[in-house]
Amino acid sequence: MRKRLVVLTVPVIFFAGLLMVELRQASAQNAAPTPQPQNVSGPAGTRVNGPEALTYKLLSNPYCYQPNPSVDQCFINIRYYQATDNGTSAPFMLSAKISINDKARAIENLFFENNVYYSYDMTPGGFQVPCGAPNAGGGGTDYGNVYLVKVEPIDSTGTGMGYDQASLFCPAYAP
Amino acid sequence: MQTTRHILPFALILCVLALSVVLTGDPVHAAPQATLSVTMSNPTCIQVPAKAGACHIVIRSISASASDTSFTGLDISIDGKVRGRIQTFFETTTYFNDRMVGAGFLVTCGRTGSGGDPVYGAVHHVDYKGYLFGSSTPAAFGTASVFCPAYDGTVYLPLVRR
Repeated sequence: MRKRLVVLTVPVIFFAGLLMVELRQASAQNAAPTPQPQNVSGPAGTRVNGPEALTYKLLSNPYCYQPNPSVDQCFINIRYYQATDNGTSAPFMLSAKISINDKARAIENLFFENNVYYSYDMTPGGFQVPCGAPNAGGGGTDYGNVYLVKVEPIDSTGTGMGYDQASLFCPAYAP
Repeated sequence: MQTTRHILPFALILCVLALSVVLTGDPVHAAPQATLSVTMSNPTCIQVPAKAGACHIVIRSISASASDTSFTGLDISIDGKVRGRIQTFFETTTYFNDRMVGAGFLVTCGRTGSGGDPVYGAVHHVDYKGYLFGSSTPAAFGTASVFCPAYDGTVYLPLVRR
């Protein structure tokens, strides 16, 4: 009887141990995700997060188009941009600056508010830029110049609060 | 004693089975390629002044959605020439509508029948191509043949001094 119990107990203990190992692995696989890095850089561009006062910042779909292929004239715009300040702790957001190749092209000011919204229809047609010759920006013969499109919230001291910067290719000017 | 002899093989088999599960481990899965779906709606050719040889192509909307952020952007081409590029910025979707490009993309209206249809003018091929990072081959593409209103008026050639 005793021997029978010993023979049956060994595999039961073995299986129990195996089950514990599997459960531990499963819980490790389902562990909480690690926090996102402070700054993000990739083929789309660069996102630099600002102080904790800025709770939300989003740049969406920068684009460049060429209305007339016989003219070296392209237009850049941003489909959407939004930034939100928590409004309770300094620094406080005062404005948002849109620049192309470090040249400011639009400055949107806050007026007793904590949010700034921008959409493409606020700049009808977009910001005019030269298209550039084929492959001028190194993106291939379908594309001309490449532009750095940057949106940067600015605080009350004139200091930037992080930024979103996209590398944007324009269609080539090839008459 | 005889009972033990009967149970022992069974116990050994159980142990072997348990070991095989432990040693096998999880199979290695290769990362699946991202997927991209694009929808284009109502490409249109417009001749605003009736007595004009210039038409505008507008696209009511284009929407694109990818399974991850490897989606880099969308090209809009007319007759093989890239006329617009809409990029993503750490996002998996792209939206485009006709109001984003002013009056639209300038094209020639063309004479009656020049596009093969006896009622309309020129035909222009409007296509979109969506790309994923690391690939020059579009992950999604589509082409629409758009007929324009005809223009049978006088075409003025530019004055060129030699």
